[in-house]
Amino acid sequence: MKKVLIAVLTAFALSATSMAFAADVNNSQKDECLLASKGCKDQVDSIQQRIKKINTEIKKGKKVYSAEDLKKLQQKLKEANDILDTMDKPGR
Amino acid sequence: MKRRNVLAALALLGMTAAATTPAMALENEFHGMFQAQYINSNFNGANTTAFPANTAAGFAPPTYGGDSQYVPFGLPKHVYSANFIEQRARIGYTAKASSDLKLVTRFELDYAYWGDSSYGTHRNHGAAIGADQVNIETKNIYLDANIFKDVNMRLGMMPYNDSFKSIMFDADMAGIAFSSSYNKFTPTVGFFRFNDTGAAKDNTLGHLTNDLFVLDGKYEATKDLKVGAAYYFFRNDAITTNSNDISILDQQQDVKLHALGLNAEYVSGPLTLNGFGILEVGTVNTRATTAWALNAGAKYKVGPGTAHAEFLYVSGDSGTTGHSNAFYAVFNNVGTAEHGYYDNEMVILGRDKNAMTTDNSIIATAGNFGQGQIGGYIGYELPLTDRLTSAANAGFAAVAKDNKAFTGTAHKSNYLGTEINAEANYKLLENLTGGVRVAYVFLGDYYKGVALGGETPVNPYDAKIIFKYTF
Repeated sequence: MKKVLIAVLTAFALSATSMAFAADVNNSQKDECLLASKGCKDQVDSIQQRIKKINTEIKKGKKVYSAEDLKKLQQKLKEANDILDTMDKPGR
Repeated sequence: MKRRNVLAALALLGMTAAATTPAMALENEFHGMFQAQYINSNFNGANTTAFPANTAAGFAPPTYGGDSQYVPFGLPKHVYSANFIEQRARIGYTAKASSDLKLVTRFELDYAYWGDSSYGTHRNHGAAIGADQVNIETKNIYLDANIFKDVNMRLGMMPYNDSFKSIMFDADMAGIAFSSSYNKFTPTVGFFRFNDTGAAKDNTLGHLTNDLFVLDGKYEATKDLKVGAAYYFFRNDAITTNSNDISILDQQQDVKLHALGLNAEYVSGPLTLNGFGILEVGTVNTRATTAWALNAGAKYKVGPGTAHAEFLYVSGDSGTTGHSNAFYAVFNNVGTAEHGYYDNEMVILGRDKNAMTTDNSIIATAGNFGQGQIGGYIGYELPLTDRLTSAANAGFAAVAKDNKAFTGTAHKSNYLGTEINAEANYKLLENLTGGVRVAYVFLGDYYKGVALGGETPVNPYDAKIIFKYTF
C-alpha cells in the first residue's frame, strides 16, 4: 500500500509541474512553449500571433535568454515566417 | 495475484501513464489560408492566355483561366474581357513531438473559377452548383528532424527553392536535404527527384529520371553583410512532356547542367542591397549550353514608406541549333514552370503574387522561350493607417534575344512592354484583409502587328478584388 501512496504522490507532484507549464509567462520567465514546444497543449495561435509572440520573446534579449536560446528563437521565427510564406505562396 | 496487488499494479500503471503523458504530448499545429478574388481582365481568363499550341496538339482548351503565357498572336485585336471569381483554401497540420522532430503536412483545395464543374474528379475544380467534387491536393508530407546537434534533416515531399529569388526552381519536390549551422556558416546538401518515367516506359525505376543535386552555403560575414554560394546539378534523363520545350511532347530528355551562383545581401541603416549572379554550363537536349543571369535589388526606407528597385538580366539565344545561351530553369515549359520571379512586384509582365490557379504572364519563365529577359522595376509601398496599406509599381521589360518565338518571323522590337500597377489593402479583421489591385501594360513593339490581319493587340489590363484570411 505504501508503494501505491508513493506513486500517487509522485503523480501529484508531476501534475503540479505540468500546471506550471500551462501558466502564463511573465516578463522575467522563459516561454518554454516557444523555446522547446513544451506546455503548449492549451494554446492555439494563429501564425501571425505566433510570429508576434516570438518577436516579443526575442526582444527580452539576454536578460532572460541565453545566446543559445536566442538562436533557437530566431530559428523558430524563421520557421513561422516560412509557414506563412508557404501558405501564401502564389501559383498553381 | 491478490486483489490488493492487482489494484496496486493498476494504480502504478495509471500513474506512470499520467506522468508520461506531458512529456509524450504532441504539439498540434494547424495553419491555413483562404483567398477568394474577383477578376476583370482581357488577359487572365481571356482568349489571349489560351495557348494555341495546346489546341493544335489536340489538347482540350484550358480548364483554368489560361495556360500561363500571354499569346495574342493571330487573335483579333480586341478580345472579350473575362469576369470571374476564383477561390483557394490551404490547410496545414504539423505534428510536433518536440522542437527537434515534426511531421509537416499541407493540403490545397482550389476552385479555378466559380461554376467550373461539379460531381467529378478534377483538381482545381468543383465550384459548379452541387459541388461534391473530388479535388483535394496533397502538397507536402515531410519529416523535419534535428537528427544530430546542429544537423537538420528534411525528408519527403517538401517546399524547396533556390537561393536566387526563385528564378531557377521554387516548388514542392520529393527529396532529402541536410542543413547545418556552424557559427556564421550555414551549409545545405540535398537531392531531389522531380520525375521517374521508368515505370511507364520499361518497368524499371531509377534510370529514366529527372533529378536535382544541391550544394548551398550561406555565410554571415558581418552583422550587415551576408554572402552565399550555391551549386546545382540538373540531370534529366526522363521521357516526359514535363521539360524544356512545349513542342516536344514525349521525348527522351538529355539534360546535364551545372549551375553555379553567388548571392549577397548588405544592410546599411534604411538601405538594403541584394543581388546574385548565376552561370550555367552543360548540355540541354543535345545543345551545349552556356547561360547566365544577373540580378540587383534595393530597398530604401524613405518618408513613411519603402521604395524598392529590381533589375534582372537572363541570357537568351537567337538560334535553335548549335551552342546555346538559353537559360535553363525548372522547367522551361510554361505549363510546368516550377519557378517564379516575384520580387519585381508585377501582375502582367511577370508572375503575379496573388495568382492562384489562374496564373498568366508575359514573362512566365526565366528562360522566356529561349529569348531570355531584361527588366527594370521600381515601386513604393506606403502604409496609410494601421489598417490600410498601399503600393504602386512600374516595370520595363524586353527579351534579351529575338528567336522568332510564337510568330516564326523577327519581331519589330525586343521591347515587351511597360507595366504600371497599384494596390490597396485594408485589414478588415485581425487576419482578414480586403484588397484591390489593378494593372495595365503598354505593349512594346515586340507585339506590333502580331494580331489578326497584321493589327496590334490592345493593351492588356487586369483588376482584382481580393479577400484573404490567413491563420
